Amino acid sequence: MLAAVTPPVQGVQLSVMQFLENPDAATLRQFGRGGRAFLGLGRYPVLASNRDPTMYEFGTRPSSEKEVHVCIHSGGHMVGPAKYMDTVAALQPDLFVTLCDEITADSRSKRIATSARRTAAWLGTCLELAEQYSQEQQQQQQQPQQEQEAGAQGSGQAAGAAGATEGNAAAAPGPLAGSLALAALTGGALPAERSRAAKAIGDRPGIAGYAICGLGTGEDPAQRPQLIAASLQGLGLAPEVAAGRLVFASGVVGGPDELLEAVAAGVDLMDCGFVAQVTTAGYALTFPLRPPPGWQQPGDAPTAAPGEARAAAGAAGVGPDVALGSDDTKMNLWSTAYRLDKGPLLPGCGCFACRRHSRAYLHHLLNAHEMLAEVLLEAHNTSHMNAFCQAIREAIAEGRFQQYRAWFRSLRAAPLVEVAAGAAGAKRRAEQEAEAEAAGVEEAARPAEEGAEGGGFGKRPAGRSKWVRV
Amino acid sequence: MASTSGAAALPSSDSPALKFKVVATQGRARSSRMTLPHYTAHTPMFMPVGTQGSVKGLTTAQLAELDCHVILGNTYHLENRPGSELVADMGGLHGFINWQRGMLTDSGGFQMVSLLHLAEITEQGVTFQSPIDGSAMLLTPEQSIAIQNRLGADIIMALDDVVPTTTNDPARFEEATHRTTRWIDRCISAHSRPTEQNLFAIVQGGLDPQLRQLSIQQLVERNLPGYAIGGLAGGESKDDFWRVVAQCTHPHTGLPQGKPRYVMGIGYPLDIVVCSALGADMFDSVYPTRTARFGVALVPEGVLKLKNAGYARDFRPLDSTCECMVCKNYTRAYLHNVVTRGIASAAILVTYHNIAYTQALTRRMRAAIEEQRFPDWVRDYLRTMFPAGDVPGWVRDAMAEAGVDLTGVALDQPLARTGAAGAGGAEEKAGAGAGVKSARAERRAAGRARGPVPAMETE
Repeated sequence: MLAAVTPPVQGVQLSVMQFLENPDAATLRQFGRGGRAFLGLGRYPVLASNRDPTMYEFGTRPSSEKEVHVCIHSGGHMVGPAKYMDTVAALQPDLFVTLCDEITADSRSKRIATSARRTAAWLGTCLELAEQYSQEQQQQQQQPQQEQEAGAQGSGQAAGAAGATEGNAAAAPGPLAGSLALAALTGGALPAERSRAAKAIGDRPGIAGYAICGLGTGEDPAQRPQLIAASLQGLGLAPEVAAGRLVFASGVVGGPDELLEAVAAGVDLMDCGFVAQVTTAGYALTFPLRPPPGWQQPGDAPTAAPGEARAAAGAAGVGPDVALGSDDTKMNLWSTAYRLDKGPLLPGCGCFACRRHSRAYLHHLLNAHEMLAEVLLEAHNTSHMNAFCQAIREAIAEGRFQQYRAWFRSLRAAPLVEVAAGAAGAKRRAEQEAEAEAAGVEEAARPAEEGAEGGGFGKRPAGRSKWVRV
Repeated sequence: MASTSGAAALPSSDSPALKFKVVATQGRARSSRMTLPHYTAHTPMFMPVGTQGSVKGLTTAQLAELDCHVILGNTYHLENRPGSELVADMGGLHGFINWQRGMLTDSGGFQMVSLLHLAEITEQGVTFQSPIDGSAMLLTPEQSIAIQNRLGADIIMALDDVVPTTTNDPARFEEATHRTTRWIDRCISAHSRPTEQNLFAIVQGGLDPQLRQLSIQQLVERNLPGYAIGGLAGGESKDDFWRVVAQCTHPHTGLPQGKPRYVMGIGYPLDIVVCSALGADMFDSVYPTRTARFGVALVPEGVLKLKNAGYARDFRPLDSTCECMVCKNYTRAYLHNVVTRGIASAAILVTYHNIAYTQALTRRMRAAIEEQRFPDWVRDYLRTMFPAGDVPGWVRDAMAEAGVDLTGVALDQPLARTGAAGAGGAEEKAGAGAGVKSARAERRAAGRARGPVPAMETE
């Protein structure tokens, strides 16, 4: 069904922590072909994150100078850099995040400082281990591996390092050869601490990018761009260097607005826990993806009152269904309003679910507690988020990201983040990275935007932010 | 009835909404084509059950990928939710769920009897308590047919008076047999779409050959497009079960050769093979899909219980002979992980494979019959499932009746048991008790001594 998502999925995210047990690194190593093959992910690049987007594995017990505590399906585990990288290596991912002493947004300075110190130390260890795991390895003497060969036969993939004949001394690439390391940046919800922690990391060989950790743990979403900016600018990279580094952030997508703000702040890759959550609740995402033709920003069209601008934006065609049971972002298929509705989930959506099924059928499946409801909703919601990211990328590539962002924000009655007029919040990037391996579930290229102030990841817009309940 | 062998024309029938054509026979087994309003199905065929309008977790695109020809919808559940009038409004079940091939709905009677407390069967119909508010409700033959007319399936089932075979009340079975006949007449009268939907009658009679024969005769007189063998899969012994099927599919005194014969509620692969050898054409069961949700995969050797820790590092596919997407992409180890962690998608993957397995099974049977190597195929199948030669007694008896020689496959002195996981484990059903068991064993021995089941004397 992953292959049925349109626009296509570009990569899949795993949490390293979920592979500490059942299956564990030893099992994956014995399998020999990494997490992608083990999970049947076909050709999709894999990002191994330190955190699962649908649950929070940290904080049940304190971490130490040597290890973090995580709570996963099988219970608690203590994980230090060695065990962590051992698991990462067994997964053979295309990208991975280094071990982070994850803390929540309410942590105080002292705890934050500790987290920064540990995370920096573990970064060094993780990079050393990554280097070792990238080295060519001599073939191990293998037991007759009929089982593995039988397992490989159907899938048509080469057995890689594992399917060797005995006694052969041919070298094979190490499990992490070619994997890209994303350095974990911590710092809680205090911008100054974020800067400080980032400065201690900076740039170093072996790093392909950064993972901004600790977000989505209770901080004010309106404050998040500031925190992201503090981390990214705190790195102190020259603009042309910064433009070549990937930025991944977990926990920043509580909704499409937040995704857009994260992109504006310089994030390239994000998790999609949001898709899983709305799917489980029986929602189909319906927010519009493109401004209507000729849409003008309020500053440019003095006559448009906010309500009119909203109406104009919404009247574009592919838009939210504002009937009973939906808000301007999503529709609730549990609602009896859809009982007799023969139309697709979202008119104009070309996804698997919308092409083949009706709202009435989805409504029935949910009420009948059938698994197929979630299968179809997940197909639609993943497709919709992918289409959203594609629209964002187009806007960036065509130099109209700020306009796009302004339009999207105008759809909301009360935006999450107040942006002072005139602040560009722009980033610069030399050119779009051609990395086919640059993967996450959502990806956005950075804008080549005019009027960039300062360089690198972007400036935080000057203006106050406020908490808005939606 | 046309003869089933030699140069005589192969049996066939032409009903207003169904054409059935046997294209090859070998012994009592036949490979056929059944042209329905929405699709031409190949039999013997297994039909997965999509109770509430979906085969649990699979999309209709996947069902087509899996080579399903006909799937089932459940009248009782669909009338409850979302309601047959809504479904009719949506273009029938086909339009509602977007499945363009064959569809079959059962009458709803079985669910009521099996699911509901205080369901009572009277001449009028089945009275039961509404699951919604507990008020008294009645499902009559007329209503069942009206609901099924609205659902629009290619094949609809008559409401029958079905008595569990474990019931110890011969008078009840007799009553049920006659009532089923009276109800088929009411169903026929009520059927408003005979040129678009095929009404199948269901043979009842419990385990009594006389009652079964009576039921067959009376239903065949009504000249329906197809017939089902009902009242089985309810806890009777395998020995009793196969004999009823054998009687109903008997070449001379059984159901018409030229019409499809549907054994309801059969899903164990071994049962499908035995019934096909005896001359049955259609099967349905929740077994392959339900057992998948318990982490059990169907394989030629029997079953794999994936929750077993032994699979944690077994990197083989479920079934090395299976071409399905799951066997091409996933290992037992991965499926073990997701099954033990209770991840719902695991159920979907094993479900997918289990249906692929049953479809491959029936495809191979049809090919074997058409290529005149069916007995060899059966022997291979049983050898794989019972490598020690410990083929159950009921299978031996049934295959003897079907004319398939199991010399060398079914050994009188079974070899030392191999470790084959679950080899045929599910097949022997317990009888009612030790006393009955020995009587049964005696009957079986006597049956073998007797030779083939003789043609029933017609009255």
